[in-house]
Amino acid sequence: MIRVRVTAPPGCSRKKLDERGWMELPDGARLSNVLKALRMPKLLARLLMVSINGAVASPDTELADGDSIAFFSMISGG
Amino acid sequence: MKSCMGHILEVDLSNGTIVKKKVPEVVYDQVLSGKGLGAWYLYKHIPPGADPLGADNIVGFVSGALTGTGALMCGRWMVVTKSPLTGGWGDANCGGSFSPAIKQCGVDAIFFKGISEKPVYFFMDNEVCEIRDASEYWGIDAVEAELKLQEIKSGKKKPSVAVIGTAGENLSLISGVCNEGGRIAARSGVGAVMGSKKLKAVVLAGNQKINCEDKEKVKELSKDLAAKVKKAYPPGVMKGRIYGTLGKVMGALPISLPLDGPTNIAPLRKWGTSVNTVMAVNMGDGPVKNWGGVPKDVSALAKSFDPDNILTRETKKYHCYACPLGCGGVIDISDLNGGEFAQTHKPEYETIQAFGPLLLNNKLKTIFYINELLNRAGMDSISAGNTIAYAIECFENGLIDKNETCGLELKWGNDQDIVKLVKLMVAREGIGDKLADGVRKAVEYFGPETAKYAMHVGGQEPGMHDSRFDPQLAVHFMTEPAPGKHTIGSGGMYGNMALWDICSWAPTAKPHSKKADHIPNEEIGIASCATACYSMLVDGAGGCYYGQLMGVHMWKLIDYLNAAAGWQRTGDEFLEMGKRIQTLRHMFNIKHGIKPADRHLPKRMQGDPPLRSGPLKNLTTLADDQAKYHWQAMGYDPETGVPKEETIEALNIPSLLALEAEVI
Ligand code: SF4
Repeated sequence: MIRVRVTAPPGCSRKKLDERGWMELPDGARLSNVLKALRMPKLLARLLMVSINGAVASPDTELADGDSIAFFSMISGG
Repeated sequence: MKSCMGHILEVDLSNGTIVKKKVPEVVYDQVLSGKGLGAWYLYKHIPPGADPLGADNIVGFVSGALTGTGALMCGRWMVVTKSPLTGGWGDANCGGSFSPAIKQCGVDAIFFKGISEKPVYFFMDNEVCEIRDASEYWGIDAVEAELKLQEIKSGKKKPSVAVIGTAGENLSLISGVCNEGGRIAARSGVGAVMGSKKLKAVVLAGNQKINCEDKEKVKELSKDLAAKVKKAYPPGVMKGRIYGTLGKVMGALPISLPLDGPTNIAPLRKWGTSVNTVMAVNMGDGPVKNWGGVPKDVSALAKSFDPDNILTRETKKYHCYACPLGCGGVIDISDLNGGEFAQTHKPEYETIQAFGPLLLNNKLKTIFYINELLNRAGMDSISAGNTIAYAIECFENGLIDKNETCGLELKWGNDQDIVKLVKLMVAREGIGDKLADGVRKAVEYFGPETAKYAMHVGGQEPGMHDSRFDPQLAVHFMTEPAPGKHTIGSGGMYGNMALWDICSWAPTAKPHSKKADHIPNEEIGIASCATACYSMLVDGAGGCYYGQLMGVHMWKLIDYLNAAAGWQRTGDEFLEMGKRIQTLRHMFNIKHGIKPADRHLPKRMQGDPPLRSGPLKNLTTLADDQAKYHWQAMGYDPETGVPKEETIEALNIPSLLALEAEVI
């Protein structure tokens, strides 16, 4: 099993996320599995610049334990 | 702690003595290095009532506990002192290569007290350690002086230099200390303390080894982080303008969304912090027109501050020591002002905001030029921008007239007169002399009726993030021992950092209504407490704010510290250590007569009255009430902000303060 951190935008299904925002997935899981769990269409995910560890990623990217998945490329502070 | 050198140096500039001392191991064990070591030392050695510009004050240059261990983004150095700007704890922080240079001289910190009769600089390498005459460097700007000082023969090809510019020499209370061509540890007026001691520079050229307990683990953590950072870069088609649009969307939403830390990496790598400007203004985070305006007041905002316009001038990118991200850059400005300067550092968001939207100035080229003027003078651009905004608003309201401004038309967006005013401040001439010490001093000169235009907290001009936008930020501005700093924390940062992943009592950030956020509540108080404590760990380690922003799951500070020290401490234990450092700094303030609850945000910065349009429409931040929740979570008296005796005891502070460094 791997655990990934998901910063999900409003409107997504949070059912598969624990209260701290982590999701458990089987080894070899891909980003598309997360999108599916969130009930987010792939096209929308691309539009929202879905990223893994800050790098914009395609849905078929394989995930690693500890990855951080997010949907905007934002910056805070500076 | 194996990653620390275990020693400090005490230099008395009045009598020329230099003493090396061994620091008890338990000090590192309890407060790390960096600001923690600085707070322990300064609390003990600066007497109450000491004049910040007098012989009794001490200015220390401190490295971080992780600097030089192979840990990434841990190469920041800190200046610690009693601030002449606030009268309390002062510190400032900078990147570059000066932090490892301190440790390579075999010490974690160098503390200077006393006052030299003539200008001096301090030199140290593996063999030599002495105070030297600096007459030939005095009066020279920080960039030129550094270049000259780097020519000094030493055990290293190019020594590392921390140096003041003319602003510090002139005792400007908003001056800082520079390195690497004008990068500046800017806040708290630390440059003036060096100036008061006639200490022009600290030149370090040692090459001693820096140790670490579990090198392999540190290496593994760094390899993983570097690989992730390397992958995060914006796609080629992505333009910087998109951030302005995202800012508009975020500003219009009635809710705040927690953001993911690692998404900061790509924009920082490509554009640096300048990417923030349009976005920050549009979402309500970037203050406009001396904190009294709204985004539409800034004409041609998106076009004028398009971060891609800055990139067209970029000639090189640079990284601090051991940083895979590299948010810095150099830009060509040889076409400006008759070629007076060939280049300048890519201006930071803080500088662009303070000399752009804050003054309704949309001439980016002027900001490039001002950036270099201030970097060379060693003057804090945040404080200088806030002070000029104050002067313009006073002028606009007839409280300062042309007789006082040396004929300058102090008007919003009048970039040419803004440049002239910066030059007067740097030279301390005419009205510049009255403004060179920041807004609080300026009010003393121009009269109490001008106070409503002076944006400061406890004497420190605030960073360029709006307290009405983010109530947690408002609390950090007020409650931080060195107030007005934007780098300690905010609600936005809290979401980025994800402290709940390492700390059992830190609440999880969730989407929340902006209105509800502005009602004081316990949850924000606990979040601000956790943030303040974590921030102290970052500084104790020598960590970078942008590492902190990446989040604990990406930049693994706790794992790094455990590996470097051979500890197996939990996140909760580390946050306790952070609380100890923060409490020591508060105790320093109290010892020096500061009453924490007397530090308030100006009414305007609280939204009293609120703005009537724009993204901050009708938002009021009840910062004083929210601060009480912060104090409570810290274990301080919620009404006075004074640490409770039982908190001080529980943090083992009395026994820590009873320890002395021993002469070796
Ligand atoms: S992110 Fe920027 S400021 Fe921080 S260490 Fe790296 S280069 Fe320096």
